[in-house]
Amino acid sequence: MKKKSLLTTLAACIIVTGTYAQIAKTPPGYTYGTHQVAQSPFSLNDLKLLQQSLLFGEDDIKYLKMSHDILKDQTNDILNVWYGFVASTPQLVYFFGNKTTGKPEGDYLARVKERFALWILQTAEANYDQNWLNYQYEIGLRHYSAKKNRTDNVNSVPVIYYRYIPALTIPITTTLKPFLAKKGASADDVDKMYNAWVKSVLLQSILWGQPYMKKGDF
Amino acid sequence: MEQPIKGYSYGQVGLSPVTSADLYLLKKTVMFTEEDEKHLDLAGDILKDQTNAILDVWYGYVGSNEHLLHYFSKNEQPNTEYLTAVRARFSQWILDLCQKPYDQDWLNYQHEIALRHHSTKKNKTDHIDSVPIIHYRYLVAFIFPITATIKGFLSNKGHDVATVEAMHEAWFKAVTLTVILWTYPYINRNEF
Repeated sequence: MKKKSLLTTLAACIIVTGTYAQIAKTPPGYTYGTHQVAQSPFSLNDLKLLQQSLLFGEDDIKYLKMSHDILKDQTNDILNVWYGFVASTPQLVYFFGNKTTGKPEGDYLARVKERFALWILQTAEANYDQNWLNYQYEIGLRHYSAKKNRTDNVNSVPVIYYRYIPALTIPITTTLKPFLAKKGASADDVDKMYNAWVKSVLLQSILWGQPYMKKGDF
Repeated sequence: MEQPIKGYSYGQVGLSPVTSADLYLLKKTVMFTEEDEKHLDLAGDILKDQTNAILDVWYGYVGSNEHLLHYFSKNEQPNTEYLTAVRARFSQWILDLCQKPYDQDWLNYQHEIALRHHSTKKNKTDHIDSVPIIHYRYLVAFIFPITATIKGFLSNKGHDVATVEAMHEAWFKAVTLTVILWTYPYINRNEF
């Protein structure tokens, strides 16, 4: 009886610790799959046609998932490269700048970075369900004047200009390729993972553009 | 002497609202360098006698996707005259992308192409009765098939793998840059 209760307590501790660990790992403002995220105005059926237009198929899902294991312990290094690129590109740093002083907001950059790491994993998980679609809309709103700065309660510029969103597809995917190759995958698999990433990032940047579009133009 | 391309008005269009300073920063953001310019120029030489075959592939792709063919149609009936007129300009676009300098004329013409996809000017160039706009999402989506399918053509003239890769990367950057410029009319004021 005593043994059983000890085991039960231990199990409860593990569950609680596990939950806390998960909570601790979830960065502030990361609301994927929660009721805080509104429904995307885009439908799953339209998403299918968009994926078809990008030549995005089952194989891409397979290769994105393959990239998950390769990337999961490299997200910090990847983010360092991406943040290095942003830092060397004043027209991008601007969007993290204080609205009054123009100086980059360190906390803002740090908080976005934590969510960005989860974005890498979420992209690699490739679960294209309603939660995924809804969260793309949420990310779009957070780049857009509707919600920019609100998640992190910062006083920064009011909108990320649209043109830089699809433009970032190139630095993001180009710099990711060496990380895909770091765990011994064949050159052919690396190429296929890279292509799947290009398609997925393009797909997401299209969806993030939705709030910027004139009515009916999306 | 070659026949002029109907509706092709490079150098004779209105001023782009995107400035050359904006273009410069956008090029930096897509990591577009002088090396890319050189490789695009080489790609132009390689592709110039293959444009018909390339267009066959691209039109095959559009034709096999009803939701894309829709933009060349009225009541879901594709307009052959429209498809043919666009094709001649599309062929020229391949060469312009590779070999025209990205100067004010180039920038202006990207805006003209943008307007022709958007409700502002769609169908007007060819006096066609078709759907009023090509939706934004398919413009950007198009970057991928246009880039993936060009690689085979770039390798058709015996260049080494590294050179083909470099040309392909330059092409990807150039197409992305171009398509971004084409989205201008779709976007709310001051948000581009």
